[in-house]
Amino acid sequence: MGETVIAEVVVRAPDGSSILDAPGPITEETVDRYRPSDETTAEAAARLEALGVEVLGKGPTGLTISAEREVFERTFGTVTGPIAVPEELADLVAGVVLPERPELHQ
Amino acid sequence: MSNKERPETTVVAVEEVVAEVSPRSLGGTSLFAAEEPITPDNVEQFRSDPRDIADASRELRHLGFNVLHEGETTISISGPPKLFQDVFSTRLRKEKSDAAEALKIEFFSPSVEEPEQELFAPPDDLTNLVEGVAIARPPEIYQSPLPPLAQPDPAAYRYLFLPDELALVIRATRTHRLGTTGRNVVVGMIDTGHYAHPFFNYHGYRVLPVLLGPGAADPADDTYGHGTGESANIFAAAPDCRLRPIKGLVDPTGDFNVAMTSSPQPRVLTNSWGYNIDSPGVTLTPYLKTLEAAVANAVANGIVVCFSAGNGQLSFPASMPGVISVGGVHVNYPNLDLEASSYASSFDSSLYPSRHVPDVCGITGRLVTIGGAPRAPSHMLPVQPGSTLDGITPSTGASNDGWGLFSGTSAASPLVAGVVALLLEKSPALKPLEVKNILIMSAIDVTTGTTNTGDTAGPGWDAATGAGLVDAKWAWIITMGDVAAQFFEASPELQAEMLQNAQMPQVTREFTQDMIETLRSR
Repeated sequence: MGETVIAEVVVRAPDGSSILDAPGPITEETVDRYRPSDETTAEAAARLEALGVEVLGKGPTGLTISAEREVFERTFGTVTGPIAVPEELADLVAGVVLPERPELHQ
Repeated sequence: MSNKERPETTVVAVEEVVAEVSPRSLGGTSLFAAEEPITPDNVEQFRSDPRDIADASRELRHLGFNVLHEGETTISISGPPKLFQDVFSTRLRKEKSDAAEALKIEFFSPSVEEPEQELFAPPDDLTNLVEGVAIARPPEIYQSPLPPLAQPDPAAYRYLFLPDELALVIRATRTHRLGTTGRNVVVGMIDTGHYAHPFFNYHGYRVLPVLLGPGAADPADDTYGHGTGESANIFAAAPDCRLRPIKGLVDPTGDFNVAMTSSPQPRVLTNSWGYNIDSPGVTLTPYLKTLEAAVANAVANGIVVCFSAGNGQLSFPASMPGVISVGGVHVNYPNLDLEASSYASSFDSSLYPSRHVPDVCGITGRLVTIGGAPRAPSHMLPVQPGSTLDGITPSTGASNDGWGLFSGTSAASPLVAGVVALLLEKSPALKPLEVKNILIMSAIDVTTGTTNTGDTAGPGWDAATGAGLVDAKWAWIITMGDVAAQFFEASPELQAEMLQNAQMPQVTREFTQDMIETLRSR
């Protein structure tokens, strides 16, 4: 099996905005503002799957995806970022971002 | 123990063969033909010339094997079974060893009738370089639920044993004896995984199956050792909680989402990791915005989220206002004097104006330097034998004894999460902010010591330790106050129901006496 790439997909809220253009911190009081509708999330997932990308899970503001390196590169143009959102997703998806590893506080 | 509670057997699957190759011995007699036991006195003659080791490794790589390690007497190699079968003209079969209770490890063994046939002769072009090849067989792991009695490092201090000594210092022992032990509260922990160390089984701790975050694999393994070790801190405070390990840290946003969709959903999530980015002028990257949203969503859903403050780092998400940021207090032996840990972080957040880290503290080591590396060896923690933290300095003995000494703020967050589990058992309706306020109101004041980031503790709230060290008993009493208030405000019918459901316990003479003693001991 080849290398798998994991990424987070930011789905747009009903007003077209997203956490990526939030003017301030996202908190427990403000997170609902950026929550996409279930229909938008489902549609984004369906389009990603049609592109050969696996949807691993759903979060409050987007989806977790994975794909073989080759599929990821073909879909998003890069595996190292920054990632341009493909045209066929742009109305639903505000951004696709690669994870960053945290430090352990051992 | 009922069948329901018996741990399921874990099978560690393997797809590769591992073997030891002995290059030509300096003494002229093959390692495999030695008539006497090999001892420190005669091992010299079974070592190999470094040039032979290098040549043999090169040839083995050329044949397609992975060279894992070049030792003084043997070379460790691995490869697919077919490669071994082709090169050594043999047949291999897969077996399972009983490595430890509830743990089987798969391995490949030669399909032969006589034990002496288990030694493979080298292929023709390696005959002059290699004496023989033996397939590795996993040992039985004699790991103990009890820690070794390792001598404290001369540069360090007396370390603490879990669970008893931690429970004593944060006064959880008193709470346990009143019957509050975190029963059935699910505590989630996003970390490097969880290994079924006998420490957990012997204590009767309840560990739910490990969930895999995005990109994680091998749920039975914790080859780093961090998640396994730090989880023991949770049980020190809340021995009857249920731990849900989430093995991840490839994509912490995805890990949070796995935790949130798991069943039963955790009431507390503890996180002993972070990003050293909360400095002036820095903004969150797009990825960290997704993590910020995932953490905020957990808190919005009533989950109490604890994050370690860092060990000198300015750590996000510990600085998010909705989480409980957990700093470090060191306990000095023998008087149990408390001081702000010189290993732990404290800082004013730049990302979140007017937010200070930490809110409260758990127990950590203080900074010492061992072998040139910064360490905080205050807690003796169970880890997967042979894992990275099994070998951390200072040593606990063998590097595969299944124990390690490490305790930065990674140890503090799960301890506080355990105290949160006690509060949630007693008062399940508490919201995250209420829990945080109770911990702050009840903390033990710490008045001395300076953190890694330069804040010094003093009387009352201070920048080094926030409110101070968590006090499980005092937090429990404050929670009881809330329950009592609810009781006295309730209708007679509801009061009867609360008494029937043991939400409002009978206030006995012993209870009153214990309250008085608790007050006197503060």
